[in-house]
Amino acid sequence: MTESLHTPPPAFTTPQFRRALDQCIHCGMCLQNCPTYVVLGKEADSPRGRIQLMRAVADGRIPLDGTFREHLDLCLSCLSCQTACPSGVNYGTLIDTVRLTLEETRTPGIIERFMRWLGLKQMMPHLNRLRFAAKLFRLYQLVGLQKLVRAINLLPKPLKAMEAILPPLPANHFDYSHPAPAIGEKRGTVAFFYGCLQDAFLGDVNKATIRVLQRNGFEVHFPLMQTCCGAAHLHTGDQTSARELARKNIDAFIQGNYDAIINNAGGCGAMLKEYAHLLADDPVYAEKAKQFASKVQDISEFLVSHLVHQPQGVIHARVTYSDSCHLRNVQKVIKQPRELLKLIPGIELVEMQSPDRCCGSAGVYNLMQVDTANDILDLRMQDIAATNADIIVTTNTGCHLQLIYGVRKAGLKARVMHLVELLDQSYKG
Amino acid sequence: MLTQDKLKSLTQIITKHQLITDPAEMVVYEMDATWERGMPDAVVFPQSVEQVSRLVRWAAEHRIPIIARGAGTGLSGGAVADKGGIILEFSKFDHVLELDEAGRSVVCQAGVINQTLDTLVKTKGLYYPPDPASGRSATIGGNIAENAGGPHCFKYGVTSNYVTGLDIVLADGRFVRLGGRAFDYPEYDLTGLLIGSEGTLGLVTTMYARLIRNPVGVKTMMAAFDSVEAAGRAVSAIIAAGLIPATMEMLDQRVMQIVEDYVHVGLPVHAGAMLIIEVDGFAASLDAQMNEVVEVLTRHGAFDLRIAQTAEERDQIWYGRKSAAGAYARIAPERLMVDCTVPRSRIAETLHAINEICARHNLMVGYIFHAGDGNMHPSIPYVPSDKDQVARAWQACEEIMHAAVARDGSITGEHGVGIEKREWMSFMCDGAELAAMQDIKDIFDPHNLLNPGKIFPSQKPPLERIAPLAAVPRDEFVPQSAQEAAAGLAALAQANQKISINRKCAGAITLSTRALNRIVKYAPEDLYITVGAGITLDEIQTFLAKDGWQVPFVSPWRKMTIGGIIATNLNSPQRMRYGAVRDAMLCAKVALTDGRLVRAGRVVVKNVAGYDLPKVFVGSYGTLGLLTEVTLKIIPKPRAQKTLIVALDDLHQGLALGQRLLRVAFTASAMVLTKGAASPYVLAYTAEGYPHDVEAELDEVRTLLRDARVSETSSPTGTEMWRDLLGNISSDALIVRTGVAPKDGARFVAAQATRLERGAYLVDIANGLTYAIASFRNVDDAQAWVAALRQPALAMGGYAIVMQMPDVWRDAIDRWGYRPDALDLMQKLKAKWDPAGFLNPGEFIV
Repeated sequence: MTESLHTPPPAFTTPQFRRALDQCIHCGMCLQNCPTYVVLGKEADSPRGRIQLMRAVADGRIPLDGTFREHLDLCLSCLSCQTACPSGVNYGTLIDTVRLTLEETRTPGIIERFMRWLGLKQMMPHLNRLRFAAKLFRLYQLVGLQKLVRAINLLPKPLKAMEAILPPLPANHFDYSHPAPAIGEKRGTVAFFYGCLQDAFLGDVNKATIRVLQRNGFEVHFPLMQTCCGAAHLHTGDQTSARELARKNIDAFIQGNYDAIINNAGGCGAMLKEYAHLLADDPVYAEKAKQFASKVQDISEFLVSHLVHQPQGVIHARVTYSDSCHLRNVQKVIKQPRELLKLIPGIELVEMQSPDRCCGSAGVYNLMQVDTANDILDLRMQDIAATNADIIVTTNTGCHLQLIYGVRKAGLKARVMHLVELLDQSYKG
Repeated sequence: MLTQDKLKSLTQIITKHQLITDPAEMVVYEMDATWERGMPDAVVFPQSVEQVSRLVRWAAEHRIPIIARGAGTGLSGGAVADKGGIILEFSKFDHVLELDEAGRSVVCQAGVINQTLDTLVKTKGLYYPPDPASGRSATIGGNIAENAGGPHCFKYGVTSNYVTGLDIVLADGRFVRLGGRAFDYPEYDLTGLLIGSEGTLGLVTTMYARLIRNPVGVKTMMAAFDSVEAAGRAVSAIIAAGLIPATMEMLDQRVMQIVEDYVHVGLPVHAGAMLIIEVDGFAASLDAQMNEVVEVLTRHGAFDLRIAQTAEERDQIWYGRKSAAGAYARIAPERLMVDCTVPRSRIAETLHAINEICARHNLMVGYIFHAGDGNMHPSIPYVPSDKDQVARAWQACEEIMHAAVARDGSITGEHGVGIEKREWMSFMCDGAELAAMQDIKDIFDPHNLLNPGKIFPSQKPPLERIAPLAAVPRDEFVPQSAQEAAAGLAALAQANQKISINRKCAGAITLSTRALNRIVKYAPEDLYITVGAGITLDEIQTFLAKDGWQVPFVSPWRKMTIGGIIATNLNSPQRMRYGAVRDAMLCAKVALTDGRLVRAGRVVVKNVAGYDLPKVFVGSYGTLGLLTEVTLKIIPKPRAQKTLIVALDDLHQGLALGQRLLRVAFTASAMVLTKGAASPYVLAYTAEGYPHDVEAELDEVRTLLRDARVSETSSPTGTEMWRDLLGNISSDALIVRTGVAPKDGARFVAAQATRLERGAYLVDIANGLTYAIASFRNVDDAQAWVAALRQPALAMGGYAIVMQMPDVWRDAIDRWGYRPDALDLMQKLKAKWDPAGFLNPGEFIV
């Protein structure tokens, strides 16, 4: 049965990788936690199945290309399986290793290469360019082009998917050139990681985050040398760029003596916390990365322990909370956002069935695996629709965009908001 | 390998999206949750019953094995294609087709996830109790195939206790329904046989199940003990005190340590063992139950008692328990999770034996037990690459099987035989028992295409037959022992003599079981009693009552033997609380007409080693074999029992009330509606169990009854009203029992009121059964009356049978009026075991 027909890639034969594989006792407890298994129903699209496929590659039974690549590419990396696993399999490490190998060994087409170059290299690390693009898109929305494009419906699939998640864009962006002072008695100083897409496309969320921090007595600093967190790069197999961006961010933040480094996007936060791991073998940055990572906190995590003023403004709304996978499964921040929501007077928090199930956004997944992402989104919207919520609260950029699209796709009336937007609204009274 | 031709014909049945033949992708289908391996030739995902049927026909035509698979979480290799063939994946059969609140039933497809079903029914305040550890992923179809249990079996039983019917596709592609929505169909209990048959008899597509009310409250505690023995004694003491906790789980020190290192929930790692005990019921009863549990435990050396005060604390206790399996992965990449069952009282000595075995083989072992059921899971960690250690682990496992069997146990309580244990079946089953199972397999699957090679050992022990009696019995045959019964039956059969059991019948020798009337074994600590089939129910109950026990049966006829009750599947209204005859019969010793004496089942509540043979004799009217000895579950007599009698002027009012009250029923042991003396109708609602539960439930009932005229009584209970009504009518009256789905019961009775009013009648509301009694001068009127009741019952998917009528009318009136879908299988089974039809001729449909 272990006949070796194919030469396994080196990354699959390391003792660490083998040990991580062996941890899986294939009990199958992960199956229903996996969004792709739930929509596709095939073992090869489940965490257990993927691990079994990894074993088969490691044993040289099947090749890296073809079936293996196809099914591994379908993984969202939501890591919901990791939360469900009774044996503590570190699926995150496994999938990251596999993704790297898959990237190294594949030759993307020219269009994909261009799109990646454009998105990951030319846009995401450069906030000014992103903001400019956002302005163009806003114009596109304002002059009615968007309506026209959507009505004609002729865009090729990936572009269409990209266009579909375009949210209503902000009129202006926050000026980060000066720190934002504390309102009332000053209780501390924090640095804000404003992100790339979050700022450009969902700028109002950042504004709300800053205001809520100020109201609770925090002076908010904006280290201007910061850049994109690099999660998209790492998860598409570009570790080199990811490490480069990590170093830049560490340099940007490490000087200031901040109480915490705050971010408001589950995926970015998870990545920032991962820096210690990512740069563990970097002689210059390993220690700094550890220091940096220990200060990173999601806004909800921070607020739960640092809230001085209760939000007072009544918001009469039925609210459901849609967990960000990376906030929940990687950062393990689960209770805090819910506790904060419950503080807002008038809000009725209704848990949906499986709030922990991925919405299908998953970084660039919804652009790469359009059909599966749509199926997963549909399932998610069913759960949401069943709650009859007026507001869907989320805590991550990708989820936010995806859910706005989902609401439109499912024909719901609900609004999508970041947790801090709701808090901010309540503070305003 | 599939040839191109075959593949082509396959794609005429399903689309290519429903088919996997890529060897690289099939790698993921070569296993389940064990280390058994087998590569299928293809995997298909049928989406309709019709496709399943066509696929099976296709496979039968090409003689290709079919292996049904759900989520692949099995623990015995049951869904592994070790002989090749086509895997039928049922993941697309994931619809709950019907959830009926009023009738407390559910109809769902085989691919529905156990936990999805449970979550769904809980939204209606109902409960589907089987909760295997894999329930988060495992499918109902897989649960049925392995007769899944879980931690709550002690109080609530296993899968087979809830399934009332199955839709299956047979090995020839034919689609049949076994049982259905109603209870107690007049047919052999093939449903019972299918459950636990590991996909070797038919492919289940749909399940019909009854549900119970979800317990209102639950309280969980854990306690430490010096040793496993001490904890085992405490479990026995709880049972002896007549307490029925919802669950009793035990962990030994080693497992505690492994788990604690992993999840840090504060397990008492310094202790020798710990128990997790959970009680459930109404809020008012939880403290009282828990206090009593604590008192018993403390008296038996418990310390560090921790009662969960909040839901989080409860979750934490369970998190510790449920992490056990996974925590093992930290010690070694693989572990043998052994599954065996012994009578509860023998847990400690079995554990000693297993410790000794593992020490001798230089293996580590830790234990998780479902202590209330005697179901043990010794787990032996090992490193797969260490071939010597692997061999020792398997050797130890084999010896553990012997240790369980030697203690009247089973080689598998809930994981199934599959591949893993097939060769060990012969440790447990003798030639006669295995041959009886093989007979069943041959009938259902003559070409051995359904999951071939599972369950049965490659070498079967020889089949020994008992030699016929030298002197063929004449007139009446009164065997003194099971052996003599088998020898006598063989002799009579050889002499072409028809045999009538406990009944005079022209042209047949009467076989009386009156001498098989001993109490063979009384084991209150293990909650069972073994008796000769000829003993009367009265005698058993009198014997048990002195210690506060009972068997959960009631008969209107004082002289009825226990064999008679089982053979006629006589279920009183209290089955709503305690289950039916099929649920209480653990084992049977049966004499067949060819000299075989078959021991079927074991004296443990969880046993999935092979087919559940005892079930097939329940309701078989003595047409398959002679029950000589049976083992029955015993239960404590209720501490409190109270009946509310509602006086009613109008039948429809009573029926509507009955439907409403059924939602409240948790401790209820009967809900019957019948004609009254002081008022035109009465509805009796009996609740029994712990006093606080009974009071709390009756308070809910009173609230629902509002301004109705209600009185309270200790006797008669609803069940006693049933008993007295049926037991006190003249022998020339007709008794007809109709059965429909409980949800349809009221509709049926309302529509048939005029016919029912012709005589006396009683509606067993919770069970969808109605007993109609009437006397007639002439047979034509009687026949017309029966037909008039029968036709609408059949139209509703139910039945109407004649339980009693004057002997002279037996030829004129069809007692059954029912044609089971699987009648041909019943006939084939009859032909296997009683080919010439000597046993109880004319007594049943076959």
